[in-house]
Amino acid sequence: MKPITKYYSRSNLWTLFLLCAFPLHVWAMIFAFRDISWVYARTDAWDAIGVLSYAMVFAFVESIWLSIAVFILGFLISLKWSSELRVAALGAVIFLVSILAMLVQLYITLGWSIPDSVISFFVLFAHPGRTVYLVLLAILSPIIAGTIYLVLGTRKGTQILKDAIDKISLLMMVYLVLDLVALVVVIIRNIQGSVK
Amino acid sequence: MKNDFSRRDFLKISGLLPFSFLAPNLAKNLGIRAPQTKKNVIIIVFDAWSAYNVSLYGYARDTTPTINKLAERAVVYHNHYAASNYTTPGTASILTGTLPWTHRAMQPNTTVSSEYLDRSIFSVFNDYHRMSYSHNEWVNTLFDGFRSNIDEWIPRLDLCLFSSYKVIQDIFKNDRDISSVAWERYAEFKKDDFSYSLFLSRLLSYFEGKEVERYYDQFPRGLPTSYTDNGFLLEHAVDQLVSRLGELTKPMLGYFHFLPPHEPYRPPVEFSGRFFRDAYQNILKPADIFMEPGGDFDIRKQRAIYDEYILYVDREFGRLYRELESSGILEDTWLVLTSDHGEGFERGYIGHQVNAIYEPLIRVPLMIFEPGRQSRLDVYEKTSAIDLLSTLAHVTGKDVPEWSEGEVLPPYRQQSELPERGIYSMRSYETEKDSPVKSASIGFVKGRYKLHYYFGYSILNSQKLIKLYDIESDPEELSNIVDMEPEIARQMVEQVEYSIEQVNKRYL
Ligand SMILES: [Zn+2]
Repeated sequence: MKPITKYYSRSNLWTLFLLCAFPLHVWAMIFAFRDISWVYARTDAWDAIGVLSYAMVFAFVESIWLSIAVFILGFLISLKWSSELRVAALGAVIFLVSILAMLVQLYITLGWSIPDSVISFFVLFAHPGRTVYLVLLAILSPIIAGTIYLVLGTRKGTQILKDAIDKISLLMMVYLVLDLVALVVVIIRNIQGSVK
Repeated sequence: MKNDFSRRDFLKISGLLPFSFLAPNLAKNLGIRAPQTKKNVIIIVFDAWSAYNVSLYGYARDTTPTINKLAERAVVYHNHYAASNYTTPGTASILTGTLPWTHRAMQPNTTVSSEYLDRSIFSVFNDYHRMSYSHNEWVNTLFDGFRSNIDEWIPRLDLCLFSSYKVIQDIFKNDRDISSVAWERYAEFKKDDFSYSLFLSRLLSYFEGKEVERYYDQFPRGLPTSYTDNGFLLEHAVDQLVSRLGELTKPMLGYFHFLPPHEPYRPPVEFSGRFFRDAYQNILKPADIFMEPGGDFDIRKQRAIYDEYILYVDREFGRLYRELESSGILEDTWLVLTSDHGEGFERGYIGHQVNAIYEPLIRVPLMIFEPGRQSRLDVYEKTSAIDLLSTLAHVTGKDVPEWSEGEVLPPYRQQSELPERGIYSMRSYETEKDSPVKSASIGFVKGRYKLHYYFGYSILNSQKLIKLYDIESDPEELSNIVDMEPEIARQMVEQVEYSIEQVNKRYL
């Protein structure tokens, strides 16, 4: 077993965490902010802030779990790659998978429909649901791999990706400050209890 | 994106999460050493359980074979009325011994008025170890109001299968309500709205599905649930309660309110399909004015499934009874079996979300298992849910509180016959705690007659609707005799209107 430092430097780990946290926070905040008026209309402003704060804290915790998963995934990438390149590749994977997850939610929630012919094809299998995922994976992995290859294969592409990662990391730091505020709100709520 | 998470959904979630919860007050237990003369009181409520569908009360299907046998050692009340046709007011009336327009928990998922927070069966038994549990979130909202008088309020999800809500509620004990709403928005995988979480919601729905899958074979229609949990088994609830009761130092007062046979009807496999092809015939009745006509074909099927679900209640109550008996608790216990309201499968409606007030919706079982009783006693007098509190206070040697509106039930009261009184059951879904009753469905039973009094509904163009039935000769309420007995109708209407006027005086 090679020492971990051959795969990641300390700053790599931090970047990796920020990259995982970013899509989760963006998605959570879009919908949590959307719900503020909804909660406010039913209880009060403090509860509305409460729901938002819990959402941020949950997103932070989910980010940690996702980072751990992605971190482990990184060991599959050859040591021939530099650790920067490894993080860049993982970053690309995170983004593509996140976008896929967003599309799946949009697909389910907005009720986008699959053509009947496709459905009747999948129903032929013993596990239609599982088969759909397998087919999706079969279609998407070359796309993900191809994208990564194209981006990382050229110096310009690599530079663009690295720049993007830097910008996102900076933005994510702002979100982390919000997480901290949210954590304080959650702690206060749990100390005082919801006396009504 | 439109937010279509409705107020109802919000209440559904926030309602099951009482604002705070009390840890078992064990310190208090240790100090209590009861004299032998003090008996326990255990009230078992099965939600939405209509007397109409109970074979003990003459239903054509054998839905309660176990309870029929146990009844040989009980006082069986044949004409017992819930105080409402749905949970919040019906349960609050059992707990306070007062009618809905008095305790004021008339809207769904509310508590009683501040005046009655310290006037409940829990406050009456203040020298007992007072326990409560319910699968039903709306009942937990009532408990929340009474919580200063409850020593051990078992959290709802403790007797349900694992769900992530339980973890969240354990971590954020002091803020269960809002943390759980946030968790629902964050992690619950929904088909009609977004989750805040991109990945966790999918993972959770996968793992919680796995947990439930283990029981699929036992429950072909799905696990019993109130939708805001991950399913539960009545067996688990009974086992856990019995083992907890065994640990207690007596005396105790327990109010345990289980969800079955409330919808969704989920009978276990051994009863599933039992009543599907039997000879039972629905009695044809005209569609109620509050319902759209038609759609009658599904009623037969739903009734059969509901009846099968009652078999589950019957079996598990039987098990509870025997467990209490073999552990010796029963011989020192007044055990009460009843329901908070009924359920109907007729006149175009299924369930109890309806403004009607027919017998299947309000007549419920009541059995009292008295310590040491070895014979059956049948009581045909008309009785009310509000009588329970007075009766239990009386039989355990307590003063019946003057604020209780109920009577001591036969055979326990001193004089055997009371002057004939009227029994009220009502639904007034729109009436707020401190507002006069402006619309309601009121059932008023007196002697052999039952008056239906509906008023304030837009479907009636705000006119009154009055029906009168002779429920002794016409228990199915098929012929409205308001025109044949105008004098009786007039007198009963007068009485109802006088009562409403008296109640409303305070809130005008
Ligand atoms: Zn109920």
